[in-house]
Amino acid sequence: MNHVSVPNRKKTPDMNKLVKVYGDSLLRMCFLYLKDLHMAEDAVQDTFLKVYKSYMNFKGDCEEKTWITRISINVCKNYLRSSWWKRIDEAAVLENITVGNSTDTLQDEALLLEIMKLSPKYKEVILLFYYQSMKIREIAMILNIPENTVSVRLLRAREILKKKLKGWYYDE
Amino acid sequence: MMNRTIKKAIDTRLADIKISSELENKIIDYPNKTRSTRKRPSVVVVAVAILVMLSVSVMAAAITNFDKLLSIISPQVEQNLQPIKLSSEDNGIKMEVLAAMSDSNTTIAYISIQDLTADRVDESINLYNYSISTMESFTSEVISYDAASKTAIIKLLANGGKKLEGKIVTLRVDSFLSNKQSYKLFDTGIDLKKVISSTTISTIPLDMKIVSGGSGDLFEEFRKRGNINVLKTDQTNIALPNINFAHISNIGIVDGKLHVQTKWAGKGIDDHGTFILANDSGDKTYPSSIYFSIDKNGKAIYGRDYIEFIFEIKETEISKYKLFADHFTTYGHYTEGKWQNTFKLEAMEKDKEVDIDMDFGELKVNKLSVSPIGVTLIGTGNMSDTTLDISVLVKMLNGSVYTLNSSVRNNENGKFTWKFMSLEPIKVMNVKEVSINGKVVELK
Repeated sequence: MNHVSVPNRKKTPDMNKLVKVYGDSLLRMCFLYLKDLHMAEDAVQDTFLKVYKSYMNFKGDCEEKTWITRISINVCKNYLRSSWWKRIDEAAVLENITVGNSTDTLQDEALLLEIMKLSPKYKEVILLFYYQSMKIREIAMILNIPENTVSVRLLRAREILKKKLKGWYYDE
Repeated sequence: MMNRTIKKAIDTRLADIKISSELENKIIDYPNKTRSTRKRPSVVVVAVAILVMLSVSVMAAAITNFDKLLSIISPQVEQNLQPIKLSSEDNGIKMEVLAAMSDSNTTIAYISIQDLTADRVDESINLYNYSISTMESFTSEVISYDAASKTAIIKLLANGGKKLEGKIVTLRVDSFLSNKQSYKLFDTGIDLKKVISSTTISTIPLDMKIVSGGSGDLFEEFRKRGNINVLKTDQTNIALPNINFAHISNIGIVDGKLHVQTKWAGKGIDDHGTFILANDSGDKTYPSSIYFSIDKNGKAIYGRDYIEFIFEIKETEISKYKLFADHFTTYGHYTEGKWQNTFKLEAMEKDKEVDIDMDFGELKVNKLSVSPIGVTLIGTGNMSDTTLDISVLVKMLNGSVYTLNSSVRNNENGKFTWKFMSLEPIKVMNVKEVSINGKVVELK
């Protein structure tokens, strides 16, 4: 994914461009985080509204993508705090999403299911590192935690996935 | 291998999840519009609409527990349900069997339990003694709780039946627990090295044949060994923060392993909890456990007054670890009564069986059966010794995939059935194939 350059920002952001560049991947990330497509859409809408409102306050001290992703993760966290989120079943949620044309459908299904089942603190580092292709330093900034903590969480999240997917997704 | 694969897998599997033009318009049309908040589940909308039309008293009479159930479950489940609507009342508590669905060996029943006179039914209600006649194993979970009417709706799963279609069965509940207090992971504050070095260890022999329960990797090893040593009971009394229903009754190194013995002194039924060792790096070590009691002479006998937690950890490394308690749980209420209803099970879509030949080492699978409730593997082997982890996916003709991530196992005389359940009913006639740990069985 290409990053949108920060310098020479206008007073108002080019929302068309931002949605095109970041929209789909944010929506997929929010879906895996929240385990509900409708709420993920709301979360992405909220994210972009916050981006619009606070664009002038963005100091450019990090990549634009990092800044927007941080907003998105915080929106998702707020949604998760609602008691309305109890008893979500990941498999049932995933079954409602139409399957693409991949030949690896079963493997993809198993992988996504296990990612969705991860606790939020492990899921967010996996999504940010592997899906959003962020560096440890950027993830630490987004989650407001030390880089060491990010590394440890990544390691543990990988171990959990490895154990769950052994003999199925992993070659070893 | 994982780096790019995850991104590719997510983008491929979720290819259909894109910013729709409608959503894009909502975002771009800001700032002059406020965000359109999505409505909460339709049941709320329906309830509000009904409120407008009807008086509160009329509505109270109109919204039955069966209606509530239908607002919770999916349309797919609803289509397969057989309404029962039979109720029984005892001890000021009403139970209603709302609906059921069944295949040849499994029944799923939805019941409501309502306290008409007191506060014994709450969100933490946990059925204790309950059964469906002709079945062997049971699990249950609360799927909804209404504090205003003190009513819980519970999904009950029963397995181990045979040729259930058309059978008359009795669902009965004899007791349940409620008023749960549960304490998640907390530091016991115990200085392990200090406590262990200051304690003189005495042990008693334990015949694993009289053990009432246990878990963990060492449990099987001990069971095969036959006799082991556990700590002599009640040699110390170390309290756990905030916990008044259990304490540490002895602690020390036995046969090179760290033993932590707990005594469960509370009156609650099904009180439980466990320990975890964790070091500064966050590495966790989980224990095996053994349940037992003692007679008046201090000899180990069958029972569950004590749980001995056993960690495989070197004595020299103990100072690196802290002892955490986890999931210490007690229930304040234990309610007994007699609630039962008898009804006839009607058949859903017929099961589809195929002969297969799959070898999973200690288990040989020779038959596979698909029903709307899930997939059953039938074969030979001893399941009690297996650590086999099986993943079952059902692929439909339209490409959609069911992931069956819960299972129950029955084992008798070297034969087993292992049932993997779907959360949504499976349309059997539309099943294309079943994948068992990646091995594909074609049904069409």
